Amino acid sequence: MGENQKKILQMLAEGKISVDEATRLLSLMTDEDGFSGPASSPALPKKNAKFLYVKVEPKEGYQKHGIHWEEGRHEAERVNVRIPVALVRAGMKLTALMPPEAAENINKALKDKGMVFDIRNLKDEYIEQLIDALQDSHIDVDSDEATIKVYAE
Amino acid sequence: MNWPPYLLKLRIKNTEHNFGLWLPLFLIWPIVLVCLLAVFIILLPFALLAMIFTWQLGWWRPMIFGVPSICRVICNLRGTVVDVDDHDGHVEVEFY
Repeated sequence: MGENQKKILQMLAEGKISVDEATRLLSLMTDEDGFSGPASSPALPKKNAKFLYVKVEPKEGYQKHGIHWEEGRHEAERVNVRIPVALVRAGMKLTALMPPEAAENINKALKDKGMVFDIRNLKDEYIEQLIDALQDSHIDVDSDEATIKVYAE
Repeated sequence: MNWPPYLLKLRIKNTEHNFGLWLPLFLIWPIVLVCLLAVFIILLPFALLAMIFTWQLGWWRPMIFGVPSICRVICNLRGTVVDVDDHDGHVEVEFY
């Protein structure tokens, strides 16, 4: 809470101003300072994510095929992918160059995985929303085989 | 302004191959640029003719507008890491 809000409440407590006047003043403060009451947290500038991370870590002792190709290595897949968010944004512009056959093949592959979606309808806003959402929260999948993490930082 | 990556680290390891490679892209980009410029100058009259003939179909549009997008993708490759390790081997690609 800022100094001005404290002064308004103090003046209200001392009876120098009425409740209506205090409310009006506080609402004015809200408009000017972005103050929205004691319950709200101060507005922090949102940090822009630079990278999108996809990490798959196999669980200890998990063996997919049961054949060691090299002693002491994990049998399950370990994936560590870091993609610049700017690359994702730039890549979105290339969807216009996608041949129709390729788009149909991608749509078919998505449908086989249970996702009915036309890749040609993918818009920049969707990616922006996804990156914003991944900044606020991480996707964590914990299965018997591996832990999967998707996040943006 | 984003500059294209200047180094590519490539590492492939499996039962048959095991090698690592540091590719100095900063040496390759000027050569690629000169080659592209030469190709562009040679193909420009044909491209213009193709553009005129396919004007109605609009095929030229993605071709023309796609060039800056491809350049943007290349320039934003820096920092990309793909590291996959499974029972068949290990592949690591990193752009610096």
